[in-house]
Order: sequence, then structure tokens, then C-alpha cells
Amino acid sequence: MKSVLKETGRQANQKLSREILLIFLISVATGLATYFFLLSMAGPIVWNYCEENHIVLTEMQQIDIDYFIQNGSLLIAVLLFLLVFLILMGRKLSYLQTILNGIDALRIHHMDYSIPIEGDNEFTELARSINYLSKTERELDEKEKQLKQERELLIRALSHDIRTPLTSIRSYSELMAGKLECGDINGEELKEYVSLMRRKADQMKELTDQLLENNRHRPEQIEDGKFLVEQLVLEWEELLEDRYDCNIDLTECPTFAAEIDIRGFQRIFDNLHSNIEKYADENAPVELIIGVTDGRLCIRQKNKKKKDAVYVESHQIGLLSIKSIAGNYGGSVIVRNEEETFEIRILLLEIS
Amino acid sequence: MLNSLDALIVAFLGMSFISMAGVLLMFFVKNEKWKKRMFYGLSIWGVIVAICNLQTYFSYMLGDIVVAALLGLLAVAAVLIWKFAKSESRYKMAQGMAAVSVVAGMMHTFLI
Repeated sequence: MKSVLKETGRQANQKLSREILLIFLISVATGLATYFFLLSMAGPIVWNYCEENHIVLTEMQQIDIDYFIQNGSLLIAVLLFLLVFLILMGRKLSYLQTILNGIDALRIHHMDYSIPIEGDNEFTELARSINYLSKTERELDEKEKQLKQERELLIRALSHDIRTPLTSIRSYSELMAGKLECGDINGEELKEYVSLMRRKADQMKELTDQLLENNRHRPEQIEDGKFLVEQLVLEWEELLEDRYDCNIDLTECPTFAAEIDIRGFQRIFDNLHSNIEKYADENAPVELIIGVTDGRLCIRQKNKKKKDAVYVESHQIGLLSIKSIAGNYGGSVIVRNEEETFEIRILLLEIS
Repeated sequence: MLNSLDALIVAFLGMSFISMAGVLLMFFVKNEKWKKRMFYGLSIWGVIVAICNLQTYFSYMLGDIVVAALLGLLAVAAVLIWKFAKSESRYKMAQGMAAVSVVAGMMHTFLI
């Protein structure tokens, strides 16, 4: 690698020194051409003038004139050589100024600038290298920003999702406390509530584990997917049935085996339940239909909106969460948000 | 003290240098502002050369006078073309005309 760099550097070096030599030779050629031109022209001009004005010069005068012409021509030739050399070198070195200005521009515009590429020598290599470095820096910055955004979104999504099981634990514990106060609870019921609370606590733990493990999609082979869906629907219904009239339709849900990330499915139903609790009108029924659409498992939830519902940021986080999970299966989410109704259609894994 | 011959040589060498330097600077300078300045400078020099040229002829040398005048007008025309130019080729044409005016003027003054 070092020898390749050395070789490339040497080649670029040679180009620049060749160009400078060329400039020098052009300047010398110009100077010489000027000298001989002036020398050859000045003589006849002087003789013509003498002839027209009938001037006869002595030998000494002729020598003086020749000497004067030679020195004058030489002086002009040297001046012209310097002029040509400085102009051409100036043009070459002006690119260096362009590069320096480019570096300043990179500083001002936070690496969002490209130095124009001119010529084919060491300076060009320098400009190319600076452009490459600034482009790499920009790409790294963008990647960092993107990772930061994804991380933030993940934290917000999981924090949002953690609220649902936390709310359930709170509800169940309040219910238990109320029943204990009245003495209206038996051992079986207590056992059931404790088991439910434990499940929700486990769910919260899994969500926090996900947060630490960067939310990896971890599917496992499920032999009876329909059974899993029914369990999740049952939990969804249990949480809502006290306040809402739930219409569930699983008739079109087929029996299927597939690789499913159970936690992801749980999060979907938690978000659906959370949406209902926040925004659905209690006086209208809530529909949940699970079937197959376009060859994919489709979960459809529809509800009437509360009149004074305020759609805050968490609504978007929940939907983003669902979209992200659906995306893991190559699926999609379609939302129809009308004036009075809200419908969400989630297309998940392919069902053959 | 310079005699007339010395003055002629000095004039020839000096005017040659100014003409050559002017043409080189006008064509080879990168900075657009300086390029413009050199163009106007060379055009004015073309007119000066034409005036010097005219001074060298007697009134009966009509042909030479007309040629000298035309070379001076060429420099003026170059300025007008530059002023109203809208494309790069027009600017180049104006520069060419100014250079021709100076070179031809010098040749006509001293050599022809």
C-alpha cells in the first residue's frame, strides 16, 4: 500500500515539475523569439529612417546604434520572459488559492462543499483527497444522525409500549385492592390476578431487554399461529370489555404455522388496545377482524372517535411501532383516519 | 541626450514591449476583472498606435492614412462589440480585434 502511494505521489510530483519546466521553457522561448524579432526589425527600421532622411552614419555611430539595439532588445526580451513566466506560474498557483478558499468554505458550510477539480497534477490530487475526506466526513455525520434518530425512536416506541402492561398491572392491582377491602375475593381469583400481573411484568422485562438489545426481531417457530392470535385477542378483549362493546371476528383467520416474534405481536395488540382506550368513543362498538388479505395475515381494527379526542405525539409513536413490526414481515400498515371513524389495517406475515 | 535615431529605437522597443505585454496579459490573465481592464487598456493603446501611425504619413499618402485610421477604428469597434456582447465567442472576437489592431498598427507604423 505504501509503495503504491509513493508511486502515485511520485507520478503526481513529476507532473507538476514537468509543468513548471514547460512554463520555464515557454518563457525562455518567448524571450528568445522577442530578442531576435526586435533585433532583426530594429536594424532595418533605423536604416530606412536614415535613407529617407539622408542621414549618413559613421562607423562608430553604427556600432553605437547596434549596441543600443542589442541591449534594448535584450532588456525587452528579459522583461517579456519574466512577464510570461509570472503569468503562467500565477495561473498554476491560483489553483492553490482556490483549494485554500475551498478549505475555508468546507469549514463554513460544515463539510458541505466540493472543491472544483482542475488540471492533472499534485494540486489536483490534493483537491481530490480533500473532497474525498469531506464526503466521508459528511456521510459519517449523516449516519451518526440517522443512528441517533433511530435510537431515539426506539426508546420512545418501547417506552410507549411499556406503558400498556404497566397500566394493566396498575388496573389489576387496584382491582385486587378494591376486592380485598370488600373481602370479595377468593384464592382462585387472586391467583389469576397475580398470574396476569406476572405476565405483564414479564412483558415489561422483555421490552426493556429489547431496548438493551437494540430491538432485534427474533422470530421463533410457532406451530399454531391461530392459537397465538386468539390468545392475544382474548387479552385485548379482557382489557376493553368493561368499557367498550367489542365485536371480534376471527372466522376468516386460518390455522397456520410460521416464524413469529411473539413480543412483536404482543406489542401490536398493546398499541391497538392503547389507541382504543385513548381515542375511541365508549358509546360505539369497537371492531377487530382478523383474516387474510393479499395473501397476508391481516388485523383490522375500527372504532368511532371520541368527540374531544386530542391526537398527541404518542399516537404517532404507537403507529410507528406497529409499522416497524409489520415491516419485519415485509408487511405494511394502512390507516384511514376520517372525521368520525378511525380504521387501521395491519398486513403481517405471508400465509400460504 | 537622445538623438532622433535613439528616440526612434526607444520608441520602437518601448511600443513593442507594451504591445506584446498587453496582448499576453489580455489573453493569459485568469482574473476576469483584470482581463476586462487589460482589454480596455489594449484597445486604448491600439488607438494611440493608430494616432502615432497617422503622424508618420504625409497628407498625400491617402492609402496609408486610410489603413492607419481603419486600424484605429478596429480598436473602437472591438470596444463596442465587448460592451454589447452576450456570448463568450463575442468577447473572444472583441479581444482578437483589439490584438489585431495593436499588432497590425505596430507593423504598419514601423515595418510597412
